[in-house]
Amino acid sequence: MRIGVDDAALAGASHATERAATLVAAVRLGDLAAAVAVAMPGSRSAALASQLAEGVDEVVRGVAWELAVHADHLRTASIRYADTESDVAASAQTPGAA
Amino acid sequence: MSAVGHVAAWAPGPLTTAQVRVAVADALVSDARSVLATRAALAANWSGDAAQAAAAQHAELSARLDGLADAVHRLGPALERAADRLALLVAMVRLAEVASLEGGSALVGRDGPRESAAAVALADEIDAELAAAFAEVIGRLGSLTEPLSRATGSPGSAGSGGWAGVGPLVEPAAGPRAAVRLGTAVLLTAVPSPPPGGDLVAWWDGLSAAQRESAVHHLPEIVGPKDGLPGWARDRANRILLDRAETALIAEVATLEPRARTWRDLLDGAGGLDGAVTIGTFGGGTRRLAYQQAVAKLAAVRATRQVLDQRDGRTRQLLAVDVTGRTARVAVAVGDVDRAAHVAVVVPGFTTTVERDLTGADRVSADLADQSRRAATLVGDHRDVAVVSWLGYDIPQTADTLRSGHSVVLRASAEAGAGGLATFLRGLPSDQHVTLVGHSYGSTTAGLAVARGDTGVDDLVVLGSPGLGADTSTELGLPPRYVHVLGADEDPVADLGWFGRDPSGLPGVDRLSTDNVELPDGRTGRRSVGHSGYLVPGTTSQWNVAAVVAGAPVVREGRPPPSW
Repeated sequence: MRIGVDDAALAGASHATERAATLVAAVRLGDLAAAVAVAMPGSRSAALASQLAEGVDEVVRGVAWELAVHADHLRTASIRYADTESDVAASAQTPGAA
Repeated sequence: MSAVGHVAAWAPGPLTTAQVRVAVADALVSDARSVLATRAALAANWSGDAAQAAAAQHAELSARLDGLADAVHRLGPALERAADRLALLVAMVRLAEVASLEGGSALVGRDGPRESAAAVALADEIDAELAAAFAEVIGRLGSLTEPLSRATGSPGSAGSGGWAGVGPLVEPAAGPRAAVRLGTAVLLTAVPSPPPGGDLVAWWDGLSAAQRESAVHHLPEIVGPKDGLPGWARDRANRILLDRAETALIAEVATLEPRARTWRDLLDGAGGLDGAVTIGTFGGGTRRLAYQQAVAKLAAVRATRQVLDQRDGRTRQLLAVDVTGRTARVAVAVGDVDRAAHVAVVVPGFTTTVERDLTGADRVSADLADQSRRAATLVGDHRDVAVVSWLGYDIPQTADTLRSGHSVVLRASAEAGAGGLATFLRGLPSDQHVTLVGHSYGSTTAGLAVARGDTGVDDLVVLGSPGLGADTSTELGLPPRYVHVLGADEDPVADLGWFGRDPSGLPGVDRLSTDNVELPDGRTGRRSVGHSGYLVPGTTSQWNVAAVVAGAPVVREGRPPPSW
């Protein structure tokens, strides 16, 4: 008997999701606000650039976090499936097992 | 409405910098979308509640990434257009100043700035347009800040179908902000945060094997550059950093790529002047230089990847990568520096660049490692050898000769590089036999590094050296017999004595042959000629360097040292 879920594929998906999280977490736009403030001091754009950078930062943190948690869940799933597959295989080889 | 005096302080340059930042962010988010779409697909034969929950979460995250990408993507064109039109505004103000001086109609009069309908209108228009673009992006971001719905449960959470009682293997320590604070996806509970400004080697030593794996993956920017951490860990972390550097440099090159600009381009959409006047590439030399440097660094990253990806059966470790300076810097080992008993660190000199010379330097290192193993075998030593190509300093280039900070005729670059080199050397395992090999200006860097003391270097080999920055061998902090000097025929640099005395004239140093002679292994070594032939396979000089690396017999110079 086999469970049949491809735990290696799940582990790969987990790894890729972690990679996506790492990429997103590297996004920084704080320099944008500083640059606009220097380029156009006193402008409305400069004020909004600061707000924009904060907004991007918040979204980036949130998305990176959610991606990381999702990756962790996938990894948990892959490990549990792999363990269960091994248990099933072991019990199938045990005399008297179904 | 803006006043001209106020607008006169506006400048387009910083907006170009902002464009680069946005392009990098754009590339990172695009990469993340691509990775999630193509490599994070869930197993096709996975079904049930957990699978459905995971699929829903995957779809929601993909949509959120799409939203972020869309928002960031809108910023580049808006900034570019604003920068272009700001350049026009600056030109208008300058022209008005000239007109004022000549007594014509002025924007800026003797009593100070006057209102100018044209300039102020343009300024207001630029500001309004850019502010509108920012406001739109802010609005789009608003919909992306809500937490994901967990109504369906998640595949690892307690109570979800088929997974009751199985929680995540790890839990983030202190919420999203703490988790992402270090620019990483998540810090696992099991990995203590690195101490800010603290002892990273002690932190590393305190981690379990699993925690180290996790740290390499999640904290590459901390693990990769840290001298003193194991080579395997730095290698894996630096390869992640290499990927990131390539992504960022691709975006930077695309943003800085020069384009022909005319007044007409600048006025496009502004309802402006007819009759274009060519004014060349806007942004001037600074932008052009930044572009050239980005192109060179991208080539360096790709050359490094090519070297690492060779399939010649040798282990290679990327021990350092840094593209934040004006040139790329890397250190690549042939062999495993964690396991090798003999480690050589080769420091090249004048005009060497990663993009042009790393492949050749790697070849030289591989040949030197092979020869060192043969030499070691001769004395019954069968332990591993590793050779590091250390291009980890700002190496002087021909165009730098007249620049005081980087000139080959000054020791500033060597002194700056010596600090980093000394730190790198101190990070190698203390039980190894370490040989530092410096060629040309690299020998000056090497000499200055050793003179800093406590580097763990056992032998210093200098090839075609213009000087070690020392007038006496004691200044080096190494016993003279552990300083090995090779100066080939027809190598004018070897006799210069530009940075201190000619090393071959330092009392007590070990002068090694570069002639046609019989080698200790019975073969005949060829004579080296000129400045660049010291490490050519088959030469006596290459044997001698390899023999020092391996602690094997050398062939000494038969001629007397130069007289002083």
